[in-house]
Amino acid sequence: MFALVHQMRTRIITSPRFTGNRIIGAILFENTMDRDIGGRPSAKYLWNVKRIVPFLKVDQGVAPEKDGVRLMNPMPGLTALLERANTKHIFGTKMRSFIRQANETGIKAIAAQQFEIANQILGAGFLPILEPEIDIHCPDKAPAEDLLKAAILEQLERLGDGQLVMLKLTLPEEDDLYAEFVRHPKVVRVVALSGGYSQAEGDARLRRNHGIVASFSRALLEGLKVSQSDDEFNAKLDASIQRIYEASIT
Amino acid sequence: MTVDPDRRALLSSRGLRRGEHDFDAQLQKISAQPGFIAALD
Repeated sequence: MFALVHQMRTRIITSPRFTGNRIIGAILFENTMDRDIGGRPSAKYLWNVKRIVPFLKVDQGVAPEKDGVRLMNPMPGLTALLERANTKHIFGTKMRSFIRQANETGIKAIAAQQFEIANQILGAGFLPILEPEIDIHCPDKAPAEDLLKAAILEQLERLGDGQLVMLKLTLPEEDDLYAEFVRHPKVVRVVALSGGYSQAEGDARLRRNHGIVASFSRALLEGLKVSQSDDEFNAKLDASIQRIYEASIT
Repeated sequence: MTVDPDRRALLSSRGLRRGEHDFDAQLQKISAQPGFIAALD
């Protein structure tokens, strides 16, 4: 199973269309980090050959829902994982938790947990991407976004001097809601998840949120199939990359 | 974290691993270059 997944990942990463000209970073999962591409560790290949900055997903999934949110599961192996990531030339990390409802208690807990673990990651020398995803089907999505924005701003103020983070957020109902994060001195960059939006919907929302760039998964891979010839596969990937790139530079 | 003490001394005040694995070039790229991040996780 993992071998097949890696085969597909390798096909994408080694595609001549997948380069650092339009793609600035790539988030890998642990198994991809542990494997090689082009005869060298995947992350090293990404940077040395493609000039794409490698990140590693470090969370271990989410816990059952409480107070309208799903916190990240405990990560007892995080220190060891980060040590391995260092030897594998990983630059930063990404961790996801999930918000289902506009519940202030739950959303504050989500932000507190994200920043608590980010502190550990920063201490190990990595740049953390914090991903407190809001369900795109959340019935009170806009109020949830307001609560999350307030909770993140409060946590950003508690970061130590020189501590920097990235934020990966669901595209909001109100355009430019997160502009304050785009300008914030402790935020390196704000990226957006596609979260179930189609590529067209994700791109349209992204274009309206200035300064935020995509960090799409499903939307990037839309239409790619193992059975496609290299020419078909690369053309499809190129078109997706170009559309997402253009939506990311507004 | 097993970072060589000499390299640790090179860490910037930001608490990041300055000097390692082209870290500065990577930070510059991720913070400033137009483009997007591919989520392959």
